[in-house]
Amino acid sequence: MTHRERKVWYPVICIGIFMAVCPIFLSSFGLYLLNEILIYGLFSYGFYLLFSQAGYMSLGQGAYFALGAYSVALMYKHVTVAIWLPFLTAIVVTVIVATILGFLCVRLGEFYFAFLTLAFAQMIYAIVFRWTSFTGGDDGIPGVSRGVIDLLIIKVDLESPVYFYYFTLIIFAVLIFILRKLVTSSFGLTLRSIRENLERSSFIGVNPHRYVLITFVISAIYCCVAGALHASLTKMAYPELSYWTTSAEPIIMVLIGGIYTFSGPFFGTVIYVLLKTYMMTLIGNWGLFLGIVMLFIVLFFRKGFMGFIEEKWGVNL
Amino acid sequence: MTILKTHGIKKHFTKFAALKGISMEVKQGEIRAIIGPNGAGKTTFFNVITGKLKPTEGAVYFEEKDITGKPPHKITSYGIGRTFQIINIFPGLTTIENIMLSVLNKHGENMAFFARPQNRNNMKEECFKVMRQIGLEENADTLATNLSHGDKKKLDIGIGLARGPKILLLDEPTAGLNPQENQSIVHLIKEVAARENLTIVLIEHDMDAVFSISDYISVFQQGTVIAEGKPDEVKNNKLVIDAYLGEDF
Repeated sequence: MTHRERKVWYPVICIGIFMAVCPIFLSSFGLYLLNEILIYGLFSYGFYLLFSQAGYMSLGQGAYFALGAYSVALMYKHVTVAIWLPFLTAIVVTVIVATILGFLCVRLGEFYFAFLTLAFAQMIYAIVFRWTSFTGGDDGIPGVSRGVIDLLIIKVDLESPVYFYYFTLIIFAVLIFILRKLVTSSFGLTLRSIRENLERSSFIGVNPHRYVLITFVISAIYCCVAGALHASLTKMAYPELSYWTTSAEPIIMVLIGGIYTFSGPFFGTVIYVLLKTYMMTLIGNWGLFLGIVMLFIVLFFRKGFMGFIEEKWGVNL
Repeated sequence: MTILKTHGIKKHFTKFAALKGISMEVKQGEIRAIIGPNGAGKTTFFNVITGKLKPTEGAVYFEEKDITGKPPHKITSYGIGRTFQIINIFPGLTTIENIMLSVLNKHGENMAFFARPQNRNNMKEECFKVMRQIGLEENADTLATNLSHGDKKKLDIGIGLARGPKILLLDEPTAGLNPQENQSIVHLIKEVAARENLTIVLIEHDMDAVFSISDYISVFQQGTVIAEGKPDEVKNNKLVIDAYLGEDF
């Protein structure tokens, strides 16, 4: 087992080094794209934790993505451009909302869970859309700052794309490291037992709803941080971030990458963002193309990209 | 000493009365068998004790504590383990992971966010002890779904045992097994009951198994207990012969 795990580190280190040095040679558009991949990657991992580990399909993670985006946008705009308070606010708001909504959702079966999360997300969308005086309504909040890191004597202005990229990369690396720890821990094993057999897990003494609720909140935090970074990157917060199409994106990315591999969501995000960007300019009809890709995955590569690689070459990432 | 006691348990499903007032006392260390025709309410009775179903009326006492209607995870944590008529394991996890989950729970470690279960040597040792007991030591890293039917049954019992219960409820532990596997399960039940002074209540249709392992037998029919006693008494009870065992037995 340890031998296998050591092997896993090589590609991770290679990708890490590539990510760290690429601002040197990438164009500003390339860097923007890579930044987007990191942000959507976080979003995917938030969904991954809840879906692939605990077995709960949420159709409403976009709600937390939007909560993160709006909290940070409003805080930057009205209170401070130092990153600490806006991010803290975003996380606190998300934890409160996710705990309340999660409490109402996790008690239900998996099917109803999916639809209830969708319903709550659409409610949040409606609130964001209608509450014009606070959220800017349809127009959203334009001109969001990217914040300033203010640490005693050090002051880094994240307006610079390169600095903002490194900021995102560090957050991504730390959060993914934590997630990896979480997934391989006893807690992670317990989540998988709930995914495998919810009833049985309660007869070994586990209260499954409590575990799913905690997972729901952690997942929401990941989505929220992704949303907060997204608002900074695009300099915008807009209502579509909480719409169901946004909630569908991590599902698609995780499916493309592979549901049951830890690296799946990351590679799924890379493929999805690149396809989306280049296909949109190349053939215009992105929706149709995406449909065909999804069809292929569901029919022939049910384990996704990384699942396929794992099966074919026995690489376990 | 009485470890488990039920008092006038009734369970109604809309119009159908599955249990019509069951009172039973199980003594510490005894092996109790529950027999009876299909639909007599045996599994429903287990479900009421373990919190899967709430009784319509009546109460369940475990070590003199009222546990009626408590959720399954609470009841499990008091020391009541169970297995299921239809195999109920974690199919996508390995054998050792299946067992580990119970061991972790016993130590209150399911919530450990950053501790890897593989690194807990004392708990791993416990897992291997249980796997040795149920004879699945060599299949530690096999996915549960790939085990044979008999091994899955053993694993189901192993998950129950690993939690270190005071009483274990086994729902048809030998159902669907070949004679050889049947033998090894019966042997396993006898062994753990003797070694750990574990109280066992089992539902079973294989009469050879029932009469060879049980200290005491309760006979269910249509939601009531029609007879209760030592194996010999039950064997010769007119009511039981008419209702269940038949003349040939």
